[in-house]
Amino acid sequence: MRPLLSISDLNSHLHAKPKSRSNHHLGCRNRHGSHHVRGRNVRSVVKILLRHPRREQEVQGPSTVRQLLEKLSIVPESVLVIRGSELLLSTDRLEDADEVEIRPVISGG
Amino acid sequence: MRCRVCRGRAAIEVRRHNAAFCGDHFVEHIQRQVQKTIDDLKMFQPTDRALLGVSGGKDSLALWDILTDLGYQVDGVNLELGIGTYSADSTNYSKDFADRRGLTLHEVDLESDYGFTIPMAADTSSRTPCSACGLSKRYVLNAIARRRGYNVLVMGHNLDDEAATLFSNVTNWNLDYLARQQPVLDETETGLARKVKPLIRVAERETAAYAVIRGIDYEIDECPMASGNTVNRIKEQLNAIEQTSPGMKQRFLFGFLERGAPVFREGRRPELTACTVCESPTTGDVCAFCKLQQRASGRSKQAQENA
Repeated sequence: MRPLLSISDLNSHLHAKPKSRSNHHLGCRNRHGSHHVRGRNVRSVVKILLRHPRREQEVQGPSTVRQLLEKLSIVPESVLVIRGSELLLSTDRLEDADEVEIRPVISGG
Repeated sequence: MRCRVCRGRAAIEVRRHNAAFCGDHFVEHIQRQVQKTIDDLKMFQPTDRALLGVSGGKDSLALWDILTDLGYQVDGVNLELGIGTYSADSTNYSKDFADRRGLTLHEVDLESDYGFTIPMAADTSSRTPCSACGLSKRYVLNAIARRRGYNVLVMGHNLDDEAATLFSNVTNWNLDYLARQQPVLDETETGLARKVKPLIRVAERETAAYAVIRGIDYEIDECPMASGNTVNRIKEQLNAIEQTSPGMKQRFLFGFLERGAPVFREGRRPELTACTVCESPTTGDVCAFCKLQQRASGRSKQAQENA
């Protein structure tokens, strides 16, 4: 089983230095979420709201919900991903400047 | 991904059922799962006087919504635990839900009614905050149900809650707890109300999705005293297994309930007597809640009543 990163551990993960882009393919929104703007390779940026504790972060590159959760090492079964009031599926694409909430579903009691 | 029923755009995938649903059909699916649980396990009838423990979280509010939609007359009871703004906010979510739907919510304040809060209990006893909280909820909700004439106490424990509790009980081989872990506990002559858990077929992620789809405002923040507790960590691990083996949690719990629980129940029916302080059923002289209350509040319930 792959090691887990709890929701509360995400801060340090998200503040980590971005990995090198040298292996990323160029193109109009490739599988890494990049796209071309006037010949430059620009990474898409998704703003995410995290909880426990509540905080906002920007994440570069994910093009689908599944990729976003993989990037953050979050188990999909433990969260809902919400855009506005809409639940997102793991296969849903994330667009530039999307704002999504990753809401933990685990509660005690 | 398309809804299994109408082929419209799906809002949620339920991998353990190999299905996806749009919002409307997901609501129908969840309500059908709860109805099936109530019917199969003969939990209660629409004519019963049912009291639901309402915390202000997703599970209890979703369950209240489901039950009223299915035609059951269910009142709620909220226990103010005294955990700072978290408890105050949770109580407000419960009250708002009840007010908007014209439902009856009984409110109990642990501090003013019983002389202590959960932080006080955690400070003065060897119990963890979650243990003190669980004990207090079990005791107070049962007391309110009995006092107000309800014949069934409904709890919002979901599939993940029960699977994680089972995992913990198995890890510790706690045979008494394993014998008592059932979705229906009958009323006893010694003073325990009938207790039922209609959400055991519904995963935690599904109750949260149900609340979002139905527009139910609930307490999203985590209890500050429960952060990193054992059950929550077990849930994370079970979810990681579920991710690669969809349906594992359900097979684990329902396999136990159908084939394991009867074995553990065999020959394990503890003799209950009346607590010498409050007369609630207990296996000792003084029940666990009265011991907790005495330590936390520094005075016995008897002393309060005599005052």
